[in-house]
Amino acid sequence: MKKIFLTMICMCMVLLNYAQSKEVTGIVTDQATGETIPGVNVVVKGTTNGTVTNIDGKYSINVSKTNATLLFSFVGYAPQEFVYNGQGKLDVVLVTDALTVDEVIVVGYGSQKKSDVTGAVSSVKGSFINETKEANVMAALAGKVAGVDVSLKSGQPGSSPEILIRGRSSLSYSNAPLVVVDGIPTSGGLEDINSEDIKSMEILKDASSAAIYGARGANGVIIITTKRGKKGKPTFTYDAYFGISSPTNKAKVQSADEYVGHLLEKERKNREESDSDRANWLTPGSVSLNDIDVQDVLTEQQYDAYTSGVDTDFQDEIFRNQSFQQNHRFGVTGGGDVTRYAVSMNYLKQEGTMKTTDYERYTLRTNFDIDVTDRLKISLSQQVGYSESNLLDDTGIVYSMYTGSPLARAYNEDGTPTLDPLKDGNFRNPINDIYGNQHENLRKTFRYFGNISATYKFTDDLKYILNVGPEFKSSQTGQFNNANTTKRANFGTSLARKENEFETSYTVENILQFNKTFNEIHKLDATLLFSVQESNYEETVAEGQGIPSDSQKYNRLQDSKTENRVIESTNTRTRWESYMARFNYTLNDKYLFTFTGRYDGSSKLSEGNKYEFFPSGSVAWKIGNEDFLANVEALDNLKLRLGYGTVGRNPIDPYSTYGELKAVEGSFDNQEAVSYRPDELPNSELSWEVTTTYNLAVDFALWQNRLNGSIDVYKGKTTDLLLDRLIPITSGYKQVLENVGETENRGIEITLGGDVIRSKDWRWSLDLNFSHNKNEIKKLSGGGDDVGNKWFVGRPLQVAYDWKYDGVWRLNQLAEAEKYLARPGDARYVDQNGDETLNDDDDRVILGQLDPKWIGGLTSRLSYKNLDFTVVASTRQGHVVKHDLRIQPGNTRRVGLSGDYWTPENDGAEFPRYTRNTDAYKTVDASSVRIRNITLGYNFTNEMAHKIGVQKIRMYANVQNPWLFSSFDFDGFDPDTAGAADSKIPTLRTVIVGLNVTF
Amino acid sequence: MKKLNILLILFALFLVSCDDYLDEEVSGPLTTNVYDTPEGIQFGLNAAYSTLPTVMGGSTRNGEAGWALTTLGTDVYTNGRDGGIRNFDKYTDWIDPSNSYIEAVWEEFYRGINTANTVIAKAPSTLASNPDEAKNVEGQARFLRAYFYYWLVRQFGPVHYTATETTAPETEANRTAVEEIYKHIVTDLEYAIENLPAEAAIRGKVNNWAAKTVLADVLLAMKEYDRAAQVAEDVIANGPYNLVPNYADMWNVDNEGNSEFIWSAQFTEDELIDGGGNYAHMLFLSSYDSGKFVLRDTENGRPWKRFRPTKYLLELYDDEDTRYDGTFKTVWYANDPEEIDEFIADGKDAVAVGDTALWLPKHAMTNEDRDKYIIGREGLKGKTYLDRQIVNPNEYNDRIYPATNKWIQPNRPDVNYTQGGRDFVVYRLAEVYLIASEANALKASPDQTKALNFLNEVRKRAYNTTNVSDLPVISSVDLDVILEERAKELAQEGKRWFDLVTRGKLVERVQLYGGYIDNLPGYSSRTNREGSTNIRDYHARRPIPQSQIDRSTNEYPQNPGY
Repeated sequence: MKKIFLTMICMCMVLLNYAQSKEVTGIVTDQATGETIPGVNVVVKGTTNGTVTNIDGKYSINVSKTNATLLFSFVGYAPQEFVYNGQGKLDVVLVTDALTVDEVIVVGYGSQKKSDVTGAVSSVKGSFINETKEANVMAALAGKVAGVDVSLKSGQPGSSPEILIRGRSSLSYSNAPLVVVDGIPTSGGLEDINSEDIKSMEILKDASSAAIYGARGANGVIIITTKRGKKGKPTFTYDAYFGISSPTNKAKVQSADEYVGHLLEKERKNREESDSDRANWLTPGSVSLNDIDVQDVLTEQQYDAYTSGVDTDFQDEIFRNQSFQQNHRFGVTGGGDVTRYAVSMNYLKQEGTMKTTDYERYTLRTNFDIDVTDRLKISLSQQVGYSESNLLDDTGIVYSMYTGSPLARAYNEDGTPTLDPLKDGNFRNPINDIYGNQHENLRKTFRYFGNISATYKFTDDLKYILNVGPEFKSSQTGQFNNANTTKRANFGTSLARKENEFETSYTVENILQFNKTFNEIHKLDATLLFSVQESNYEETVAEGQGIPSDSQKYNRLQDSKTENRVIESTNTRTRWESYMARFNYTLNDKYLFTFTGRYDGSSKLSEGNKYEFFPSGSVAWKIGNEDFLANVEALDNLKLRLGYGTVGRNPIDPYSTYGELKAVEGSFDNQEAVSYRPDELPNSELSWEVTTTYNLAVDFALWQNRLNGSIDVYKGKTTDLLLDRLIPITSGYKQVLENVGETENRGIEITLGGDVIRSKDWRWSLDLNFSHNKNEIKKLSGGGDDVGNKWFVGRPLQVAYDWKYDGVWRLNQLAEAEKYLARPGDARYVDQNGDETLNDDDDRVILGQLDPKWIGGLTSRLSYKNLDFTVVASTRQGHVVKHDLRIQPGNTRRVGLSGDYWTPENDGAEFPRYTRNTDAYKTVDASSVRIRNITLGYNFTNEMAHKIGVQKIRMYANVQNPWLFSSFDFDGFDPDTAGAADSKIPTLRTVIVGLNVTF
Repeated sequence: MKKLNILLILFALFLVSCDDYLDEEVSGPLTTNVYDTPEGIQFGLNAAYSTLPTVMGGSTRNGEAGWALTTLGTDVYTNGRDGGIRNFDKYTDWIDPSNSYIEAVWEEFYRGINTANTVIAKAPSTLASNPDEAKNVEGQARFLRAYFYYWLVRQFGPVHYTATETTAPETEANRTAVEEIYKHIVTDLEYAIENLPAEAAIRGKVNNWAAKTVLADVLLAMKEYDRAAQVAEDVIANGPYNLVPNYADMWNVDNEGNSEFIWSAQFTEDELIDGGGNYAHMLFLSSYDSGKFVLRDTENGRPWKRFRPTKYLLELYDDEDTRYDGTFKTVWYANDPEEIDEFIADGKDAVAVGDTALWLPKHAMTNEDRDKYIIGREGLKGKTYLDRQIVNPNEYNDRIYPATNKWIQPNRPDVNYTQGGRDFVVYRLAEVYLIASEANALKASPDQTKALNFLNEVRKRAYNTTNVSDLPVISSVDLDVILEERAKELAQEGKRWFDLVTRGKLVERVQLYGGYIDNLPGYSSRTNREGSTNIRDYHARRPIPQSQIDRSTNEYPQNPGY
């Protein structure tokens, strides 16, 4: 209303001024989409002379004199000024403003103007998610949002990173956030969402904002909203990109010569230390390497290979030097008076670093909005996805690939991979895992999810919304390893397995919303919710060994050997029932209050404990709107926020409160007797893990939004953590799951953004975020530390706990080293209590935390005319990783370290000699700074686009992971995946070229 | 307005229809409420039965825990060459509160007790419609509970006693006096005698005669000799059991259902049912395969060399006693044609497959006599611990000693197959005779006639005679006579530790007879009498597992000495 009113006033003025001036005309378009923008305010600066653009984005205004300045402004876009030099035509491109205060963002069960939000909510535009061209939407969040830590845990294509919002608070259960897509909580796993379909992502970080999701909000909430159709002619878009990835650096493994040198060195040590009495050991270096013959340290097989020049680096055979990816998306949006639509189809294919691995995905997204009547609107938001992943069981292959002897011949003369190249039965050639049809691990997933929604407006103030969100997910994994693969090396038979998972769930939400402003100063926004949700999970597994023919793979398990078959099937059902009420009250557009109460029930808990109430409240004060600051022209916005709330987590398995029985073996007279004994103590008292947080924050915007940002400090406490408590077995049970533990999270988040340069041709904006999180265990079951789980009261939730590495014992420290049964060249560890022995109890210390102490991100967007240049960087600091491949075992090659290891002749070496190996030595600083992405794009001018018959065209080139700086030299490994159980792969660099066409 | 009404109704429907929406239907995993069904309570009862096979079998600590705790460190058996359980014989510090074998057994019995308690608690209501069945099920569960406690008190002394199903976390534990636990055991057994049928439904389940047998044994341990005699005599006179005429036949692998066995813990060869199995077929074996011409094979078994008979035991048997050969395997036959061919090719005398290749005669032979046999002359090259192939008793060592005929299991599919299927015999009639004999001899007014009669019934079978006059003379029965007879009759049957402990004879007899002395030529008379030197009175009780002490919120006292 206001806008129309203003427009009318402006038009009147235009009419008044018409006679004495010159007319200027032009078109205003959106920089990102190229679409024209109707309703843009155009004002001659310093006057009341102004107009607005019409429905086609055109304007015309009369200017009385030359050198006047025209000011273009519109909600959601950065204002722009142009000096009028007497030209007749002035076309203007407006750029969307990342952090415009009046932007509307989704907050769960509705949306709010950003300036009215009282909780800690971050919003990321779809275009910012999409700009880095990450195959996985979650990976695109890295470095973009304060308090959101994204780390890749697997090198398999198609895998999702781990996301932590404001740190970790649960010890035994998942800390993954709840993901809500178009209003419906999903089962997670967003591999199948295409980033170009996303309009925005909102992250609810504190309890006061996540409380609307009550018992599921404890890990934070990520809300994804997909693009919808707008009224207008159909707009077709085609987006495509092609990319090539290659390892930035292979892991440094020893060459054949280095390997032989290392074995000679080992033999020397053996000879020096051959006497059964330690006291008689020779001083290091007293045996000369010249006295050791290469043949003494190599088996016949290896010696033969060495003399014939074999020098295998299995990485060369197993890694793809170049793995390709391509992505195509075809979309159409538009709509008429009644129906609006946004339909898109997407195809993505990505090859993995390891040969044979890849990921292929097909997605169809259909969003419809139908105005059935003036009062009734029906919306459909649906996605169908199908994907196929070829994976590797990479435990065996990764280890053999890095540590296998370089003297192992990779291939036979006929080109087939060797099986037992060292002829010692100990080393299986890892190439067998990728060769021919010897191995398969194919996962196929079909998934449908959507929201079928109806909104009925009783009055302008009151509406009722019904959301029905079904989800179906079916996946099948077929695994086959023939007898040659690393996994089967010790068995000599093939292993085949077929696994079917079937998941269904539905959500039904009834929402009543009331929204009204009274007396122009009291604004009330109330939401009432009643929802139910059910999810079912079924799984069937069949496994067999010794399939007669490899060609049968996993498709004829009935031919496997009877005695080794595995058959499993499971079925679980979980239901939720929730009531929620939220009231937003705004007084005078200065004082904002939000109260939320959610009452959640879960089927997993016992009768009487099923329901829990999760309240929250937050207040905000828009100081910027106070009269005493009205004269401060530089200040656009200043807001203080304070929030408090509780949220829950209910991660226990269904049926936990009953007490599960365990099948045990039993027979009478050689006949089976079905036997089940009590195995888990039924605990009817089980309840939620509850997180309570306080959040204090300030939001600000200065100088027409050229600098904006916010600072949040928070403190959260999670109580009633579910932990196993050990109890005496005399009760019949060794442990019981109880709500006993407590953890705490504290942190600060700073977000800064703004335009460094704003001019007609140049624009440079910077977004910066920084967050620090400190988590701490406050209480465990039994009161004290739990060393077995590496849980220590007063310390972070995940730590590395071991002896502290203290360099290398040097030659002149022989006597001292002997006290610890070590020798010069061995790794040296700190004897914490000085008792001259290293023992587990007293000398192990906390070496560091596994989650970063602080994370940060920087995005720079620079544009000149139609060229744009974007750089995204992120950092994770202050954590350690257990670099599992930093090993130096006797007969395998040395990996992940430079060649500078200790020998008697190299006493100053950085790294110890090869034999002594403990886990402690593997823990290294994982802090890193990563340039995640550099993009260079060019938007064709309208004229050029029109010439080739399209509305708009953009071309871009993009490099992912161009640089990585880490404080420890990972020798090519990625610090994020170096600690992963199996997928230890080098950092990948990807080059992408692509185009977007709109027609 | 009409539409609005419909929507309001819809909304209201959702609000009211959900009374039982959150009820949890369990499908898939079995939870404790399955015990509320008649077939489900049998699952629980069966699980209680499986406790003993688990303790004595491969599901617990490599199949050695139960056997080690009942066999080693006694006067009749000592350790063989291999296995960490050697230390049970040596009474070293290794037997400590963190000992994993002791902990495993402790845990398994308490799981079994809780399972039995659960069945006992639920049987009356679950089987309310069939009171006889309810009593039968409860009777079996009470029997098992009684036996489990009987096992525990004889190993640990006063232990935690509970007769109720655990339904909420229990963090306190008690040490109930042995006498009181015995009272509970007797009550449970009396209930079982009252309510169990005379004939069990299937082999491996217990009947009232089994309950009486255990009761007689328990009463003996309680030194209530009069009642013990009475109950034992009842079993002998009225029970359906008979001594198997030939001692060796009783141990035929296909004779597990014989008329003498009263109750045996069940094992089966079917791997799909019994993945653990009874490991006894390996534990009592010696290194027969170190002899020339003999290869390790399924017939002779996989020698784990854990248990070796003491000199004392081997010398207890008279030459006429058939139980020596019934118990010990002392002869192995040539089965290695390759080695025979090599031997013949060297121009030596002919040996054929099936000829005796290794022999451990009961009495020492002179070298002259031994030289009469080819194998005795040849000796062994490279296998220095076995000098000849006829090995005299004074040449036995921790690898070579008489093995077992009771547990040998030639019907396994493969020589390395560990899962033995032989049932563990818990009670058999011969023991009841010995209980009757002992009780009559030791009761307040001893009846030596009866005592001798019962003893001689067992001996007659052993000496393969029907005439008492053929037996070596025993004029009266006393504790030593009984212990000697039990040693011979029940060797290798997992009884000896209990026999010695309940009679207060452990320390005395281990000091006298425990361990062994090797005086093999070439070895400087190696002794392993560590057990005899180390044993102290406190060793008659095992240490309470440290985890029990740590996890109890009240103070749970350790047994003295540990």
